[in-house]
Amino acid sequence: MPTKRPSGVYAYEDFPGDTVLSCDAVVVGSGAGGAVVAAELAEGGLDVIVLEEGGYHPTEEFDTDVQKAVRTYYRDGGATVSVGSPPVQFTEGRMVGGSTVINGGMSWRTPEKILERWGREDMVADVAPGEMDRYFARVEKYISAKHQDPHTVGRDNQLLKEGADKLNWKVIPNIRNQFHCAGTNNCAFGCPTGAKRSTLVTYIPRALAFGARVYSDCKVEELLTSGKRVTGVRARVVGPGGRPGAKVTIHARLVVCSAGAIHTPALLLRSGIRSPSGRIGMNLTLHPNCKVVAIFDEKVEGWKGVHQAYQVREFQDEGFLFAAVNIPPGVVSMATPAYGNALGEILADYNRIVIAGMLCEDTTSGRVRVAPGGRPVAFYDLSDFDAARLVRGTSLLCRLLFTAGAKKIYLPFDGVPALEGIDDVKRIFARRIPKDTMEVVTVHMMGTAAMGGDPTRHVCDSYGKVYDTDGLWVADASLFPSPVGVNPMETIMALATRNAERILDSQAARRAA
Amino acid sequence: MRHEKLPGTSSAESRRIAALSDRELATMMLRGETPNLDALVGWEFRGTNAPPWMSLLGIKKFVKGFYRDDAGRVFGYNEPIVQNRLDEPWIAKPSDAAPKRFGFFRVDTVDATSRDNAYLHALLLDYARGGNSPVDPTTTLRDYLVRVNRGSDDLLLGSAYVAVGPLRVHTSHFVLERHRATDWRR
Repeated sequence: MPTKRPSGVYAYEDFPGDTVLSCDAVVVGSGAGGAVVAAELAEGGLDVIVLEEGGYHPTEEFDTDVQKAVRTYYRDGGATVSVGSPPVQFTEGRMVGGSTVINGGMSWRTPEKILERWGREDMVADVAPGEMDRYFARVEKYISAKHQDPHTVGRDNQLLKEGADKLNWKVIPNIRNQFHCAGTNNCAFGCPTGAKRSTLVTYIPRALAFGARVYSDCKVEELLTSGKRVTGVRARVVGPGGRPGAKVTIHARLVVCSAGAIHTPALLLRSGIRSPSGRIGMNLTLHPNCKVVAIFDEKVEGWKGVHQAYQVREFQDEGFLFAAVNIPPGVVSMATPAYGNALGEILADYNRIVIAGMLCEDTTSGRVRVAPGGRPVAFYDLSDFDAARLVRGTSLLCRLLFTAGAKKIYLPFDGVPALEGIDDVKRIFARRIPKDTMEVVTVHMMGTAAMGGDPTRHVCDSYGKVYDTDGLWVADASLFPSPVGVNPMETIMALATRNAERILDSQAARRAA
Repeated sequence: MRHEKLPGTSSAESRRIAALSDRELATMMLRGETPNLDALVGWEFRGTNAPPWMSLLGIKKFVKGFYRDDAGRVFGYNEPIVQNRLDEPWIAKPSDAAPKRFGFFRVDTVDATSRDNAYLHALLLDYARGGNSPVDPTTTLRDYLVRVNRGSDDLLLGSAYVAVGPLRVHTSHFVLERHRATDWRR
């Protein structure tokens, strides 16, 4: 049965042949950055077209079929990996709403020390903590950023909190973009109730209400330019199975790239955009994550309850934080360094498992390059310092889980046996753990078109305008001059709101002149 | 003709900038702000070409002036200067009271779609549109101007190019410093 789409949303079947369109602003991508900037620009009176490579999938389509979700909503079936030591598996959403449809929904304001650093070290204007408040407030209103209803907190997250409380470690309840979340824990595969307020159900409908058009199944191949002015985009419809379809040319005086920190720089590079800084694609940071699988005696049933209800912030000044996040058996088996019978034993205890992870604010950076054919390739090597922090953070997390009552913990370090008790934790440090034996994952890619006040060091100015190119802006996590150390969604959205305001001001000034 | 005089020699800062390497000056060009066109009109600026070899060509020191025509468009010109030391007064040739003016240029913001788009944030001094004779070699020149200091148009940095067909060849950098007010117009 064909998907029912709201008015203003188009899909591959709406393109019988090559098409030429025009508008004031093209927005490439419909996630945390693209949907926000599209809605703000449309509300500001611009004629906006959003191009989204993935398909349009409404709330009614979301269910517990993990295979379908990963195959359909995740770029490359979730199997994207960076090249380096160790390889880092990362996931990106590829659908209308982008990664906001499949993320955990944590909605944190940018830590003040990060905003201060951006202002001080990268000369980003107007991001002092007080100056960003109104943008955070506006975003939080539209995405309904709130604490969870208590009954939606699952046992796995309760155990995380109990362990932290016993150790007197700082633990805070998550603020998430949700309205009376039912705790189905389907966040990573699309919220089936609509309670999670992704851009699919917030900013995209707002954009449509203000007259924006959304073309799904449309991959932008190249920016169109005349000299150093961007004049539009050339895109290709993507049919079922990835079959290339009609060509779509859109003429516009503004283009906003919001394709994420992997694909935005790739689009700029393959379009021949030159930066005086020479840094398009560089400065890739990604919050390396390590996960442990802890087995408890009690029934945990971690699939009941919200995706993530708490974060342990005791070590935030060291650059890491902890969370518990239940993931389906298929994904557990993919992410656990165990095989055969050993893996079977772990999965047999699935209903007594707490999966917990640590997020590390990385201190090194990698790079996105474009391979022949135009595909982006991410290169990233974990630094020795960050690797040591992952080991330390993992050991602290194990201590927390044993304190909460865990009986056995499987580690993300190949070759290091499972821990059987709190006294075993020191065994993690018994020998050096080579980086290439670490299972490292992430869902936060940042920094590859960094903003800042110096065109010789940054790709974009303080408001996301690409230096030395007219009519081209960036509005996604590529803008971050450094990692934020917390879930980045709200930072992306707040910056997109602020930058859209700047775009509108510049358009008004242009008309007045 | 009004000439209001400011100190007639270059400042230590302008001499320091003129002595920077080409690479440092290129970085400074990228970081510079767009000058305010209105702040240039009605003024002459002391010019110092950065490369040492400009002394050998007798064009280390010069003056650029800016004026607005009846249609409101901004133009400029060059004046030859006595090639004394940089810390000595700028004296126009043949005389300060009646300098020779040549190498006229049109001043405008940079059009990103044009061939002359090296610095989108700069002002372009386009000698091809200055009303010079078609055989005047200065018509091949293109200069870009940016502010050195934020918010101030008293000290400017320039980057000079020569147009060779469709090519634009960078030749040198130069520094401009506010010199004296003038009401001269062509």
